[in-house]
Amino acid sequence: MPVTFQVGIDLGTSRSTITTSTGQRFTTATCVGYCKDVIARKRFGRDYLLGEEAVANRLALNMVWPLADGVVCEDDSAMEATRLVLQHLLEQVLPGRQPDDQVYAAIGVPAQASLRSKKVIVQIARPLVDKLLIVSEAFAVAYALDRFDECLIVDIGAGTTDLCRMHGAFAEEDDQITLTEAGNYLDQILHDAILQQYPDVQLSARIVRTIKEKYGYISDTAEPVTVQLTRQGIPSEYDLAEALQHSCLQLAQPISRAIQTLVGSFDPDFQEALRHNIIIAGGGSRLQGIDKAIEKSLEAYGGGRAVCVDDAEFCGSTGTLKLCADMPDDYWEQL
Amino acid sequence: MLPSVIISKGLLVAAAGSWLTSGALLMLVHQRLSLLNKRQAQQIEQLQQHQQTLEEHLVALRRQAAPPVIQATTVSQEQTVIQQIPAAKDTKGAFLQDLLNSNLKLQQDIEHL
Repeated sequence: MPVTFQVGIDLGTSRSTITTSTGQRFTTATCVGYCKDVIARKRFGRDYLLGEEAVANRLALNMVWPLADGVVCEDDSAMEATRLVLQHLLEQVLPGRQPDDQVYAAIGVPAQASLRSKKVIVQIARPLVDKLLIVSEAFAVAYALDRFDECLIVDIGAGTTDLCRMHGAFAEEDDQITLTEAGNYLDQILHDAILQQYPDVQLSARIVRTIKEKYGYISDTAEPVTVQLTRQGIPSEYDLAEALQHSCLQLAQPISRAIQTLVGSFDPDFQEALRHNIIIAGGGSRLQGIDKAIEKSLEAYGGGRAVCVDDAEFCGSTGTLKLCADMPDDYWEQL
Repeated sequence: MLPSVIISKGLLVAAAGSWLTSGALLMLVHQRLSLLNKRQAQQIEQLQQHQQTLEEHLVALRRQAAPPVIQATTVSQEQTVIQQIPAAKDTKGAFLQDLLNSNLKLQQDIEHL
């Protein structure tokens, strides 16, 4: 007998996650690595590797990260890579899927993704699922948390930071802002700040990301952060406290400005409530002390209170799954 | 022979005058008191009418302003919780309806792109 599966998907620039109505969930790096040559193909026994496996063997592969700024790049290789990632996600969580089974999916997109970007995602996903719903990522987070009252969702991803103002009604375009200052932006400014302080140290994107995730925001009173880096292959210890503090505040400032834009254009009776109910989600919420950095940055606008979600990894896909599950059958029929 | 009291005319006149004056004063006081009572009774009646009108207004205003609040205070906590569940569903229902509409519009826009 055919079964209908509901799946929530958060297609991210760095990582993608999927959660299903059967209780399965899976996360992977949003990338595809194509074998560079015959030797690599012979070694892996395939033309391409996906996710973490591709990242681990990247020296032998041509890596494609198909999403930039939260949306699929509009070229054939990116579209094909996105299709492979989506297919990989579905295969991992629905291994026993039969041809007659139905898959109803909701996919999260950046709050202000263009119509063209949404069209690309629909084109890629349609052949893989039977019904498709496109949802704002930040709204999905609010739905996952059942937060429909006055609050402000700040979903910090790798490519974009999405802000969504909730006020008990469906979030319209005016209630949402998408910033390109996100995880990758922080990596870049941290990379530059370290090199400015220690010009000869050797850094890679992976090293910078590890430092960022391990230490995060350093407050004014913090002790020195000593990290081992190499200089011409010779390891030494370097103090990165200043670079980390400076970089995290650089990320927090545009986010605070965007928060203030949404607060300032809101009903004055509820502005205070909004400013004191900031919920930080996405991979960026795992950055240690990001809530404190945003609160510090908000001091210039009258202060505020921010908290991070508990399940940063799956919060978005849980929200899209909840939307799928709550959607009545007759609504699905119309799609 | 009956004993007689010799009273001067002046004293008689004074006594008669005093009696008349007292009587007149009593009459006057009685009239004034009656008038005051009558006025007070009228005022009390007016105040009672005012009070009745205000009470009617107050009841009407309470009914207009918050009938559910008045009702909610009369139900138990368990009943109140049960009553809130359909309200939450309605909020989600409105979200889902809006989401459906936005996706239907997206489909149309993509077709026209």
